[in-house]
Amino acid sequence: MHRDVYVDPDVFETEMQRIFMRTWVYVGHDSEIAEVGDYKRTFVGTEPVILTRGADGEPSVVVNRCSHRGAAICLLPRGNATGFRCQFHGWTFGLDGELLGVPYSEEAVDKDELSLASARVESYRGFIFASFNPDVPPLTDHLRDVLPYIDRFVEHAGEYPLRVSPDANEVVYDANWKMQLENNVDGYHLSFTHQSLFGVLQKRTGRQPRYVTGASDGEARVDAFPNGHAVMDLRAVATDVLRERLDIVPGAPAPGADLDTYFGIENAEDLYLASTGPPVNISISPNLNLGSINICEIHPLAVNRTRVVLRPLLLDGAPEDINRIRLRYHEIGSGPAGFVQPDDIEMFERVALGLASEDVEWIQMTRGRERETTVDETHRFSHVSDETPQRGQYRWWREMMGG
Amino acid sequence: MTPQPPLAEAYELLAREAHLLDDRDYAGWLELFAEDCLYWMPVDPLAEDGALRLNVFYDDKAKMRDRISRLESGSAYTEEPITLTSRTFSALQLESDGDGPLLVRSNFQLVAYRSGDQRVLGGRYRHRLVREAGELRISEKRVALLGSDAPQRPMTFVF
Repeated sequence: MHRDVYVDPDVFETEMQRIFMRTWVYVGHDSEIAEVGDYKRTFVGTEPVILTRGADGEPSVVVNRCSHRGAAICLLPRGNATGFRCQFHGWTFGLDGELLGVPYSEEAVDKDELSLASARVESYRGFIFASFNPDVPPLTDHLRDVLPYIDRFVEHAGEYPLRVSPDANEVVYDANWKMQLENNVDGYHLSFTHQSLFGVLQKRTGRQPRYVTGASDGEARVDAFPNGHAVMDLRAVATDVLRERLDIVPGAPAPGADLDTYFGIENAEDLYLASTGPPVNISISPNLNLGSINICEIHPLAVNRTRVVLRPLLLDGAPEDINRIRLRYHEIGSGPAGFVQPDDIEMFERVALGLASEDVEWIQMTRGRERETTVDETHRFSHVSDETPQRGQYRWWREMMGG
Repeated sequence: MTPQPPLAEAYELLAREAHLLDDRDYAGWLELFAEDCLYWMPVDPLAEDGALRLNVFYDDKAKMRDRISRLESGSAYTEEPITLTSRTFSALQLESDGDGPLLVRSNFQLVAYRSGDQRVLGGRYRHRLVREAGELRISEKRVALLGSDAPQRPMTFVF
């Protein structure tokens, strides 16, 4: 792959138009706007938008820009409102963007024409997506091959409905946005970039943690699906390691404790072990990573600047101690002071530093090309440490950027 | 009955902590804390209790030791090369209900320098102090960072 894909500002501008404005982009989870009037300030690519829950209970996505002189009308990250009022000249809008009022208006105002621009909105199992492309295929067509994985992710803790933490861990880094998307389905880097986490686990548990080793990884595999989606299925290698991670969670039940008594429910062990997630990592192009028990939003800011928003998933109606442990589990790795995410970011930035070389133009992304299995034109799978997912992401990227 | 120590004693403890951290004497830093302790930074800087909220970090003593062993492992790559820090604190205010633990509130500024990049971070500390065998120790340190709820570059050094 050519270095321009990560460093050329013109490529970035084209991506915003041809990818982010043309496909489905993740904007939020149902539980973030649970009540009528709830809103979330967010972005579709670099387009500022507001996700709202209207009086009819339906989510809307409107552009966060007054139709009069262009001021942003929503500044808070989230809240509840009956509508939005631009503080510049007092224009008011409904939750679905309808223009409601224009102060001192003596001439007729075309309220339809001057309502806030809005995007198409569809959702699947609580995940809300928006598209500015009126001709985009239905969301479930776009996600088709990853739907069973999303189902598994949503059902990882049984019947409890998922609820995101309203607070989020946010980081910003000086490198390209696609680094974060690729990273979620990169089995190759785990044992190297995250060596320090495995060191902590070994020190605490006295056992050598196994993970992706490159050789005997059993059924663990990666899949590249149509439309740039990809999956890394770690069940075969991760289950024991994840259990060990629970042992280092602050305030976790002591090893050997009676879990039913501790949590006050029957069969508590399954629910407790579910605190580590499915374990399957899902990358949904262009901006959503699911993995562990997190929803990760990727926000491109510039060709070499990216904002990442991570929210852990809690369980509605589960014992308080289960959700407390899920929060503590998430905090071990995630956020700007976590034991995992900062090291990924460091590597993204080292790539950005290395790509300053104009003399060497090409990036290698060939691992597993010979041994991967081709199911059809758009679906391939391979060993968990292969770069099959990344090649799939860029096949779709090239298709989107080409036309 | 915990007699209220004079301001000077609390100041001396916080100053010692600041120097230990800027010197990266983490073993010495850990000794300042009671065995049953909490070192935490809420995402919401106004959060009083972080147990059921999301935090930037929420460490008991065991996780504080994990944090330090990771930092010193040579493979925590955000700290290779290391971040140099210099911190100041001021505006100490003591609060005690007479026989409970002592709360010390202060403001801090922390300058962090790494690889040509210098950042200034600021906020408020709240230390909860207990007396153990005559020694004043930290049982809780809350770091309310300005912008803890906004995107931050990695901050894997100790606050």
